[in-house]
This record gives sequence, structure tokens and C-alpha cells, in this order.
Amino acid sequence: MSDVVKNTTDDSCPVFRSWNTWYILVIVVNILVVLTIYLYFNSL
Amino acid sequence: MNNIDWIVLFSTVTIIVGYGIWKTRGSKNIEGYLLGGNEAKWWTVGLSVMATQASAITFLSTPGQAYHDGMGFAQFYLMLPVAMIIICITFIPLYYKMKVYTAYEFLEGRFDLKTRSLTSFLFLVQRGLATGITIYAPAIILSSVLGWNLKMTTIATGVIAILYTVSGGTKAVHVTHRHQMTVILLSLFVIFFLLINNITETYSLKENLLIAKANEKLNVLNFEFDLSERYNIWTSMAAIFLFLSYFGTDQSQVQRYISGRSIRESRLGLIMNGMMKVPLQFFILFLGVLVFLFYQIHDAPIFFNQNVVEQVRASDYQSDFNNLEKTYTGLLADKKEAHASLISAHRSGNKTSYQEASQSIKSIRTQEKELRKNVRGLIEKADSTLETNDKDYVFISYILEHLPNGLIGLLLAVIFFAAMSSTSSELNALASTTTVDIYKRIINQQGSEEHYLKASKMLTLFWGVVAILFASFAALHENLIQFVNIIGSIFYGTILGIFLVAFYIKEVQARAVFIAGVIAQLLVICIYFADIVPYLWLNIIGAMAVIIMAVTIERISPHATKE
Repeated sequence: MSDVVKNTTDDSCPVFRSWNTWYILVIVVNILVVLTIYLYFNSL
Repeated sequence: MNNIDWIVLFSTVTIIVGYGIWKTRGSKNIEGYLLGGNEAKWWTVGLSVMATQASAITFLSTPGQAYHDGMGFAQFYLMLPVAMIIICITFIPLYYKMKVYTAYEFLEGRFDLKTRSLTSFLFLVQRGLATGITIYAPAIILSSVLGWNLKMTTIATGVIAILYTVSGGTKAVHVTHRHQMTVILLSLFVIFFLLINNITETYSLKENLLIAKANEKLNVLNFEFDLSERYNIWTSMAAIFLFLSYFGTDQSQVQRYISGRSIRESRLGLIMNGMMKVPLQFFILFLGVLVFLFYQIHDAPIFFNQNVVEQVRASDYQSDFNNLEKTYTGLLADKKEAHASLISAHRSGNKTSYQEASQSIKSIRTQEKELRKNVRGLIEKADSTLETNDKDYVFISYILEHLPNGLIGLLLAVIFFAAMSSTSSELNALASTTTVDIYKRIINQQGSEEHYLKASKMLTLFWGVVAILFASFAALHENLIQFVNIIGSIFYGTILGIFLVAFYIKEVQARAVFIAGVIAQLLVICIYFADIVPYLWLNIIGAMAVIIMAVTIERISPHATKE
């Protein structure tokens, strides 16, 4: 049980320096997906 | 559906469920059973969160929604990534810090026992009802189109979900979710390529998209400020309250990510959901558009639920129905001609002819809508208890009538998996909340680990039986699906309001939030019965009422802060 408690506190951010970069990436990816689809369909 | 389909259906379900049971047998304590021993990696968390949200109705209804009304429904999910980020920043660290088994347990640490009990009770009421519908909704569609016995279909879906959820708890839910989602996603991709292959026999993909656009199926974003419109950019902003309640405070979702190996794995799991959900929703809706294009080549029936059509044909309205069908056949021929003119104008670059063909398609579409409205009216006249909405039957009709054998069995397995994945999460969450928040906390605090483990298993079984009984033996009809959504909207707002106060308004203490919660809940119920606003707005009203009243009560009450 104590091992599990130790493990669960790990909040180190993988790949980037801060979690904020991940959050910005989530927003950017979604904006890109929606805009690409929207603009492509509108351009038809 | 032939023997090959049955073999594929049975073997896929048996292998994945059997593997889930075998792999997760023998939990020795309540922590292993309810939190899966905190072993889940981020992709398991992410897939499990997605599998829990995606019920069978998601796969049956969403393509049908796009078939009839286009892709605008995707807007409903636009704020989901923002909700994921808020939960990653605020909710996850606090749940982990207090090492909770359930979301409601956190509220006792922040407020007191009665606030915890209030929210867990509200959750049990609304989720307990919803679980029955999660099983029932696909069963009624499958039994209708396949002629299966409704009760047997309901019981089979429920019993299989109970089997692996009781046996392996959270870990079994995670293991099966991972494989179920893999099969679901792969099958959807296979359908996608089959549809593309099929529709490009006559026109190119781009030409098909032009046809879809002329038929108003590709309207992705709607910027008009119209609150009566269910899906536009502005109403999608309101959906963030729903996502925060569902993902942040509904134990069926919270349990998926607090069982992650660490805060890091849980956050990455939700980030995965935030990245994938909107594209996945677009993808499923686009499948609906492709099905629409498919039915422009292979004539679509006037109404997809053939069971209902047969009942109308057997009624006094048979000749009226035949007349409408005749007019509809004429419209289909006109539409094919208009589509051919549109593509011909596109190929020749003639803008005037293109505009004319677009106008012609628009006019046919208006007539078609009117015709469908008349069909619905006729169905209602023939038998007012019949379901007049056929969008749930569009995709399943395509699967059964146009997919090769083998693939039909696989897609039916997908629908069962989707139903089971949501059901198992819900049973797991109902059992956790009843065990941890009610039984262990209030009724019996002296039990051993083994005792609580046994209690969790018994309560999973109990909720499973309740769900099956509710789905099988109550006099249900499809409007109950809406009824459960209404129940959810009535309770979600208050629960979210209490959590938002807990997270963000430190000055508010237990007494104020409890009183605010009870008054807000009564207020929401009154507003619902007064029928003042559409029920989806009850989420926001409930949450805002709790926040405003909790702050007010805290400020006007001199003793409250001393608690």
C-alpha cells in the first residue's frame, strides 16, 4: 500500500518542461482540427 | 446475419471478456478492486475514459444524426478539451492529495459528512437510473432490427458486463475497455474505407463532398446567436458545465482516472481524451455523411425503422403511406438527376449551372423534409406509441443490409462492447460509491479489508441486477432515454456547484454549501416542473445557484466561518 501511495504522487511532466505546454498543445491541436475541417468544407 | 456473423460476434465477445476476467482475477483488497491497485498507465486511463463516455447509442445515433442534420452536432464537444484541462489542473491533484476512492469522499475532507452523503446520494439516484437505460437503449434497437427477444438481449448485455465487473473490479473494466476500444476504432476505420470505396464508384470523393455540401451535411460551425438552436458555437460554451460535471464529479469517470498509476498518468490520460474526442466525434459524424452519400446511390428507405413501417402498413393508413412512398421515390429520382447536374456543372466549370443545380437540390431537400414530417405524422396517427424518430436506425440498417457477412458480426460486437463498456464503468462506480461513501462510512466502519472487498462485489452485483430489472421489466419506451437525460440535468448542476465551491471558493464552509446545495436542488426541481427553460440549461442553473447561495449564506451568517 505504501508503494502505491509513493507512486501516485509523481506529477513530473513528460516530454515538455511544464504541463502548461501540454495544455496549450491540446487547445492548438483542437483548433487546428476544427479550423482545417471547417475551412476545407467551406472552400468546396 | 448468418452463421459467420454469429461466430465472429460470439468469439470476439468471449475472447475479450474472457481475457479481462482471467487477467484480473484475484483482487485481495478493496484498493485493488476499486482503484485497480493504481496500476493504470496513461493510455489505459485515456481509452477507459473514452470507452465509458461512448455508449452504444453514440455509435448507433451519431451517424444517424449526421445523416439527417449534418455535422453540426460536433460543436457540442468543442469545449470538452477545455474541461479536460481544468480537471487536470484542479481536480486531479486534489483527488490524489486526499487519496480518495470516490469523488464524494473528497467533499468530507473539504466540508463535512452530510455534504459528502448528499452528493453521493444524488449521484446514486441519477446514475442508478441511467445504467438501466445504457443497457436498454441499444437492446431495443437491436431487438427491433434483428427480431431478437428484447428481454434476452437486455439480460445478455447486462449479465456479461456484471460478470467481468464483479470478477475483476476496476482492473477488469480497464483491461476490457482497452481491447473493446481497439476493436471499436478498428471496425469504424474498416467501415470508413468500405464506404469511401463504395461511393467513389460513380463520383470522386471531392465530387461526393460537393453533393454532401449541397445537401447541407457539411455545416460544421454555426456562428449565429440563437439560443433556440440546440447546436451552435454559443450553446456549445454552455456544454462546458456538463463536461465538468460529467468528467470531474461523476464517479463513473472519476474512478477511471484516479486509478491511474500517478497524477502524471491520469493527466496524460485526460490529455489524450482532450486531443482525441473532438476528432473522433467528427470522424463518427463524417461516417454518417458517408452513409448519406451511399444512400444517394442505393435508394434510402423513406423511414429506416422497418418494424414501424410494417405496423403502419398493417394499419388503416396503408394507402396514405403508399402514396407518400410513391412521391418519395419520385423525389429520389429528381435528386439523383440534380446531383448529376451539379457534378456535370462542376466538371465543366459552369458556375451558373452549378448554382441552379444547388438550388434545385435545396428545393428537393425541403420537399423531402416535408415528406418525412408527413410520414412521422402518419406513424403517430397509426399508433401514437410508435417511435417517430428513425435516426437510431440509419447506421444499423446500413450495417445489416450492406456490409459483408463477418463484418456484420464484428460491428454487432462493437455495439455490444460500447454498451458493456459504459455499463461496467457505471456499475463499478455505483458499487464504489455505495461501499465507500455509504456502507463503509456510515453503516459499518469496523469491517476487515476482506469484508469490504466482498461487500464491493455484492454491491456491483446488486446494482447490475437493479439495472437489468429496470431495463427489462419496467414499462419502458424510448422516451425514457430523454427522461434519464433530464434526471441527469436535474442533479448534475447541484453536484458540480458543490464541487466548484469546494475547489475555488475557500471562504465557504460546510454549513453554507450544504444549505445552498439543498435549496439549489429544490429550485432546479421547481424550475423543471414549471417548464421555464430547456432541460439542458438546468445544469448551469443548478451550479450557479449553489455557488451564489453558498457565498451569500457564508457572508450573512456570522457563525458559519467558525465551523
